[in-house]
Amino acid sequence: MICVENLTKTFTLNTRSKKDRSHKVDPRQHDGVFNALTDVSFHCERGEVLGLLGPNGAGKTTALRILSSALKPDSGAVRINEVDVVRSPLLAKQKIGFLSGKTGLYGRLTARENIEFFARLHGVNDEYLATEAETIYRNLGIVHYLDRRVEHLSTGMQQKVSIARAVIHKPDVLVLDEPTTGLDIMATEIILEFIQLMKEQGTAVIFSTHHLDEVAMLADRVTVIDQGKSAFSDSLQAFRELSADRDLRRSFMHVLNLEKAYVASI
Amino acid sequence: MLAALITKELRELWRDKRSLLATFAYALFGPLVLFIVIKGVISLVVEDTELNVILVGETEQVQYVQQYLQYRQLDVEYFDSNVEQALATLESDNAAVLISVDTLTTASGTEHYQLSLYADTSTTSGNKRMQKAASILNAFVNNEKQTNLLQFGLDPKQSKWQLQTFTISEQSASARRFLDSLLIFLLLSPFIITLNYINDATAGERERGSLMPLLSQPVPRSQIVIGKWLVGSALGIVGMIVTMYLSFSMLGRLPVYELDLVLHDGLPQLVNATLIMIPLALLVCSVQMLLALTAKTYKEGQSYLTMFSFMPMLIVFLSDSINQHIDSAWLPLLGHQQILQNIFSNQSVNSFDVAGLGVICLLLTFACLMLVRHQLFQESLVQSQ
Repeated sequence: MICVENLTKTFTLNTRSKKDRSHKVDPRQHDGVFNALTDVSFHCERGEVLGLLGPNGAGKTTALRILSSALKPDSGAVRINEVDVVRSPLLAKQKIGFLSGKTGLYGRLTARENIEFFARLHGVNDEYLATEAETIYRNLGIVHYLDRRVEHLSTGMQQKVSIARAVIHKPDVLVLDEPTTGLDIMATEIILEFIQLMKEQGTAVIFSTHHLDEVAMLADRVTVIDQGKSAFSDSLQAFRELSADRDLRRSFMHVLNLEKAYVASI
Repeated sequence: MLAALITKELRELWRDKRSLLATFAYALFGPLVLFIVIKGVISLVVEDTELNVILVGETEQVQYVQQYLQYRQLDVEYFDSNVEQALATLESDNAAVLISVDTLTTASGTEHYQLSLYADTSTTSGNKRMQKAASILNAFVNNEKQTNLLQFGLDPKQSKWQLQTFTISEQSASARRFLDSLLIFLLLSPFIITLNYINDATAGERERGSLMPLLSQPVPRSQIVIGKWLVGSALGIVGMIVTMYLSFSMLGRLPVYELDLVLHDGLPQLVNATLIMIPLALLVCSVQMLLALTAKTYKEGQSYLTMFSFMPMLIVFLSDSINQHIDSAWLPLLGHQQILQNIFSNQSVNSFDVAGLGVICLLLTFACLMLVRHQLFQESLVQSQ
C-alpha cells in the first residue's frame, strides 16, 4: 500500500540558524546543513495502522511531510500503490489524506465550507457530498456545528473538522501528524475511534504520536525514528517483545538506548 | 478546481468585513478627502479676492476678452475711456483691476494684441486680486495659443496675444504639478486597494498554517496562484474604477480653473484612462503577491506592501529627472503618468506608446506570476509551519 524506502532529507541552515545553533551539539548538523533524515524506511499495508514514534526533533514531521508531497526527499522513495510520490505528486496526492500539526482551516469559512472546498479540489461531486459525506460528519460527531464558522470552534472541534477534511475524498492512505495533541479526553476518544473505523474500512493509517497508549490501542505496526533514522520498524508485537515485561515505554527507551536511564528513573 | 479556489477566496474576502472596509475605504472615502482638500486649496486661493474688472480698449478684441472674463464668472464693466481715466476710477474701487486691450503693429505690419493688467498691490488682498486676474488672463492667452496651434498650425511663439508683466510658463507648470498630485492619487489606488486582500491570501495564509494543507492537495500550483491573482486583480480594477469615477465626479463640482487647471474628464477620457490603468492593476497585484509571499507573517507582509505603495509617489516626484535621461513612455507608472497627463489635458496620446506600455505590463505580470508559482515550491514555506 505505502512503502517508504531509505528516505534522506537535508535542510540548508540560514545565517541566523547557524549562529543560534553554533553552541548546540547536534551530530546531524555540520557545514551549514542539517540532516533531518538520513535513513528512514517503513511500510504500511491496506487496513493497517502504523504508529510513528520518536523524540521531539527526530524527523517524524519531516517524514510525514514527504509522504504528503509537501517536501521532496533528497534520495529514497515513497510509493503509494506503486505511484511514486516524487515523480507523480498530483496523482499521489489524490490517494492520500494528510493532517498536519496545525489544523490549517480557514477561520472565516464554516466547517462545511472548509470540508467541501477541499472535496472539490479532489473532484468530489455534489451527490457524494450530499450522501457519503454525511456519514463522515456523523462518525466524527461534527454534524451540529457544520454551519458555524471555524474561528468560533474549540480546538477539539477544529481538529475533528480537519480530519473530516483529510478523509472527505476517501483516500487510500491517511497520514495524521499528532492528531490528538492538545485535545480533551472526549475529543481524543472520538478521533481514535474514527482511526479504528478507517482501518476497518481498509485505509492504511500512519499517525505520529507521543502517546504510547494510543499506539497500544490502534497500531499494528510501529516505527521509531531517532536522529533522522529508523531505529525500529516492525509489528507492535515485536516492539512489545523488546522489553522483558512487554512494557511499551521500556521498549521505546530500549530502542533509543535509554533503557538504563529509564529503569533508574522508575 | 479554479472555480472552487476563486469561490473560497471571495467567501473569505466577503466575510472579513474589517478588511473589506479598509480595502474600499480608499476608493470610497479617498475621493471625498480629495474633494475637501482641493476645495480648501481653492478657497485659500480665491479667499478675499472678490474681483471686479474694468475693461478698456478700442479694438474689436475687447468684446472677445469680455466674453471670456464673464465666462469665468467675473463681474466685468466696459469703460469707453482711455487708461488714465479708467485708473482714476480704479482708485475708488478697492475690489477692481483694470485690463486694457491694445492693438500693436510691428514693423512688418503684423498686428498683436496686448493685455495690460493694472491693480493696486499695496495690500494683501490687492496682491491676491492681481494674481487671480493674471492667472485668468494667462489661461486665456494659453487657450488662444492652443487654438491657433490646433486650428491653424501656428507656432505658439507667434501668438497674437501677449500678456504684459507675467510669465506664462510658470502658471502652466503649477497646473501640471497639481494634475500630477491628482494622478498620484489615481496611481496609488490599485496599490492600496489590493494590499489587505493580497497580504491576507499569501502571508496571512502562511502564518495561519492553511497554506500547507492547500499545497498538499492535488491542485497544480499555477491554479492556486491564478485563483488568488484573479480575485486580487478584480478587486484592484473595481476599486480603481470607483476611485477614478468618484474623484472626477467630485472634482467636477469644484471651480478647479481657479487653480489654473483645465480638466478634460468626460466619459471618453475616463474610459481611456480605465483601459490604460487595467494592465497596471494586474501588474501591481502580481508584484504584491510576490512580495507578500516572501514574508513569514502577516505583519511582515504588510510592511513590505506598505513600502511598495510608496512607489507611485516616488516615481511621480522623480519623473522630471528620470525623463531627462531616458524615454520612459513604456515604463510602468512613469508611462502611465505621462499618458494620463495627456488624456486629462486633452493632448494627443501616442497609441504606439499605449500598446507598448500595456504589453510591458502584461509581460512583467506574467514573469511575476511565474516567480510566485516558483515561490510556492520553496520548502521554506512548508518548513516555517
